[in-house]
Amino acid sequence: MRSGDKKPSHRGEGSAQRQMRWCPGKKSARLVHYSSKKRVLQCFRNNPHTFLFLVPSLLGLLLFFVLPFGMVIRHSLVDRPVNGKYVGLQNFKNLLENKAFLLGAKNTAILIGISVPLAVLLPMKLALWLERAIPMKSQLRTTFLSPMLVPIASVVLVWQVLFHQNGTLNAFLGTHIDWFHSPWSILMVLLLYLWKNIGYHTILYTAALAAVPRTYIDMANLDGAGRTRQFFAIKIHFLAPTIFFVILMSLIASMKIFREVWLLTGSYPYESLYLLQHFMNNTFQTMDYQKLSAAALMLSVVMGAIIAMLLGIERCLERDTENE
Amino acid sequence: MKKRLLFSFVVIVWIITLSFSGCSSGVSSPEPTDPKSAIITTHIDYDGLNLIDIVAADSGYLALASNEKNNLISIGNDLRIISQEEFQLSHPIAMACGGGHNWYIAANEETYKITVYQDNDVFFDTDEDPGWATAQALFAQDTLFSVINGKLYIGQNQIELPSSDLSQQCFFSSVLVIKEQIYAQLVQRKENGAADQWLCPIDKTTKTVSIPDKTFPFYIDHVSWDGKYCIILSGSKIYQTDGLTCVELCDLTLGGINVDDIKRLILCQEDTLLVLQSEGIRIVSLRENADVEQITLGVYLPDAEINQIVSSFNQSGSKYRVAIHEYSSREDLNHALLTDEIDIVSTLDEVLMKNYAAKGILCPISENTCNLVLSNIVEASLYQGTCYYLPLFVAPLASSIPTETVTKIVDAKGGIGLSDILGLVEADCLASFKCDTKTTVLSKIITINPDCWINWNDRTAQFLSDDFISILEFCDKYVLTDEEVAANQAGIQSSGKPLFDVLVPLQNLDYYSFRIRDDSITGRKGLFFFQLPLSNYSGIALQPSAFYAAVQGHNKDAGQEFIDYIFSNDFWVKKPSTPAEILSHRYPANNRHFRELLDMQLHLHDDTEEYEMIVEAKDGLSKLITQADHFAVAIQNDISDIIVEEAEAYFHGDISVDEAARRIQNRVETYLAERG
Repeated sequence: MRSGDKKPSHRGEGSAQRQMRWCPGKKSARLVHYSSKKRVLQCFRNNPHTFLFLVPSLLGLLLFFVLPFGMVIRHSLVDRPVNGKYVGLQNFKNLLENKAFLLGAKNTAILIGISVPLAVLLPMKLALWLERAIPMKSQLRTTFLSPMLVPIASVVLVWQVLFHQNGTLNAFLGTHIDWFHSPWSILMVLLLYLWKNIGYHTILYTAALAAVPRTYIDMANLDGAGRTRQFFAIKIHFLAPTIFFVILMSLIASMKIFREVWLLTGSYPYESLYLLQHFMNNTFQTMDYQKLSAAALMLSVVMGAIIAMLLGIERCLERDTENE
Repeated sequence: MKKRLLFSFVVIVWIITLSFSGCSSGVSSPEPTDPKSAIITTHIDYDGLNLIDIVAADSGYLALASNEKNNLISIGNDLRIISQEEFQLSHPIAMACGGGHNWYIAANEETYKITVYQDNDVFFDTDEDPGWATAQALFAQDTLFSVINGKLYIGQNQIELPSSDLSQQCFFSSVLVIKEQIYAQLVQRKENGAADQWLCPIDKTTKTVSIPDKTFPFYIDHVSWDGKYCIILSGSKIYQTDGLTCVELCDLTLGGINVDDIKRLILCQEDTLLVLQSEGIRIVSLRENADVEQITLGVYLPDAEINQIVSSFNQSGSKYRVAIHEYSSREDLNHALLTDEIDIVSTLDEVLMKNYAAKGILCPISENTCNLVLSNIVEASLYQGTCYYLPLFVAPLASSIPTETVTKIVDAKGGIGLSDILGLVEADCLASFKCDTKTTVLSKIITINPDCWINWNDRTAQFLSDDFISILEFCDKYVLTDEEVAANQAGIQSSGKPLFDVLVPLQNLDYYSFRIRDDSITGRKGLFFFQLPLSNYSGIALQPSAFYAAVQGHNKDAGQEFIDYIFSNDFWVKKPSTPAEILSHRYPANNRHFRELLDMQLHLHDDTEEYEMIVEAKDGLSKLITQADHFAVAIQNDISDIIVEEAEAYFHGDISVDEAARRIQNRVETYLAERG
């Protein structure tokens, strides 16, 4: 900081406080950010008809997001979809007592608990490895992206052949296990999930690592910091937004893995593979909108809480790099 | 940020509020009544119309409604609104119908008096003040009798009281007809607040009333007659009267009726009363329990939903009443069936699918139980011609057996039993299941054998039972492999003749399920069983039900009434009819849909050789269904898919029978838990 500069505030909440920060090197960007926001507000005040141009988008948002969301809330509070009576939180209580819902929630939580950390950490490790000078680096990067190109149905077929009772894995191991009907079935799904998603996350990390300023790495090398120290002291701060993004994408992908599970095992799989989405898909098919809406609301609240927590952590991590 | 959140919250709440629909019109579901009461009621409202009066007309009823504009409403015998027109007169008070005219008593805005109108023309004016007017009119013996503000009018003439002794505190309150004699109720208030009342006969010719010596036991609040019976309402009780004596029929308060808000009573069908109230019309059944024909629904494991369905039916005003008789075990139920202790009826509601096995149909096709119980049922029933449960059960197996083989047995024994079929299968499997694989036989068994291993009340499954395992073993042991079936099919195709002859005599329809499509697996053409979707909208058929009818020899009329009610448009209208409502709340299939499906099949096969067969089947089916008093519903497709899928692994030798049963148990339990 130069003398005469304003003391930066460390409270960090709200854009009003942020604009008070004195960020050398980024001063102009901060000021531009503040100016554009105020300019927008002023524009609306001076030209109210400007708002009319936003109406189509707002209408679309209302019609396709807000209104359906409202309908879901309504369905979760009544006892039947048509001419239903208000029953308060009874649907939620019934849901929490429903064994299938609890089983699905448990399996989904286990899957997320295992798959998301792996989907965050493994690609990071791979990206760090790719950062070094290794042969065929660009070919490897391309290879990592290839799982995204394969259609899901083909992947499912291959997985069925691999893990069938008379499949490749059993032939290799000399066993006769029906993997999708055993307690190990969740590992098969985990493998599929990681295979599909690791490549894309690796590319994201690689791009983020490339954006780390070399000056800090060079200075760290001069100071004698090892790779691990460099990673935790320097690189991870710059990787924070990417980590947060990868966590978010992993969460979403872990929910979407239901598609593969459904193709592999159908609507009513073995109990260790019964996910929350199975419950919701089946209740949708039976038009049990009350259960479905209640489950969807509970899921959205939980996901919202997780994402809010992640946002908070991300802000903390990002704050440390703002003065850089 | 906070403001944005608040604004978003307000918008969402506003949207939710908007999305809540208003009250619907039409017939509301019957309200629960005290099970100990002697009356059952059904409530009908008319979209917020405030009905003032109602009278019986030529084809139904005429009602007056006062809303923003007065309306004259024609209501049919089924109490549906036929037409609605604006009423020309303002402030109507009462009405009558007869002599080819409608008679109204209304306040005359010009003279500010009460006027009697014949249709829209003034019949006569009175000097009565319309301020606190009470009126009642009756058209009988070609004359209009009316009571307006305590005064009696015969035609246009006011009738004076015959005796001056009674002129103090006396007034006429109503006119009524009993056994073709017209009476006017005369009331005298006493100082202590009590009242004496007389039913005074009216002489239409001399236009006089005579006061009997004996008072009438109580005050008549409302009265109705149908030319044969007269019923009166006094307080909250309904009496049947002959003018001298009264017999209490019921107490309206026991039916949850607010007796302070009764505007009119109409007796119809000698045992049904229409009660006009502000909120609509209530239908009250006056039949005593003893007179109601009772159908007993034998259930193995009753639950609240069956009770609700039965309660709804009992409140519908039908002269039949369904009672539930619980059996603690399936064996007890079977025994009761065999000994004719109970009459079994059921609906197609999915709720009753839970207790399907308890309806006397179906035990697992296990050698341990079938020969002992089911053979007795079928042999006893077939020979006695009363109960045809088992043929439904064995139908899929029987349909796999050549007709001539089945016919021989039927001719010899008068029917075909499970033991016969099992024996045939064991003796000559090739002849019995030439074109059926293990999977298709298993599919047939479980399709027509719904829920024997599922306890819907507890949401548990018993696929680990010996019975079910024996079925898997039976299919594996006796049924052909795919290769053998393929070889058989090749033989069939080369001969060009279907294995199963379609010309099953229709009088033997009881034995078989009917199908009207080609079976690509078996190569059979002809009659196949119906898959009747609960909804045929836009191809949605999420809960297809295959249903079969059995003719039960005894108490057919009672059963027919019950089934007619279930299949009636009235019942169907009372229940929501959109696909979402149907499929979300397991409403029964309707014969209208069934007829539509039949018509669709006819249309599809219009110029094919199946056409006549379908027409014959349609007539036979229609006859069978209308006569049937017992229906069955098939297993859920999801469950049968799970069973077949795991059984296939067993048939291929990948897993043991116990492992197959364990996997089925595991997956079906998840299915059941989902529906909890």
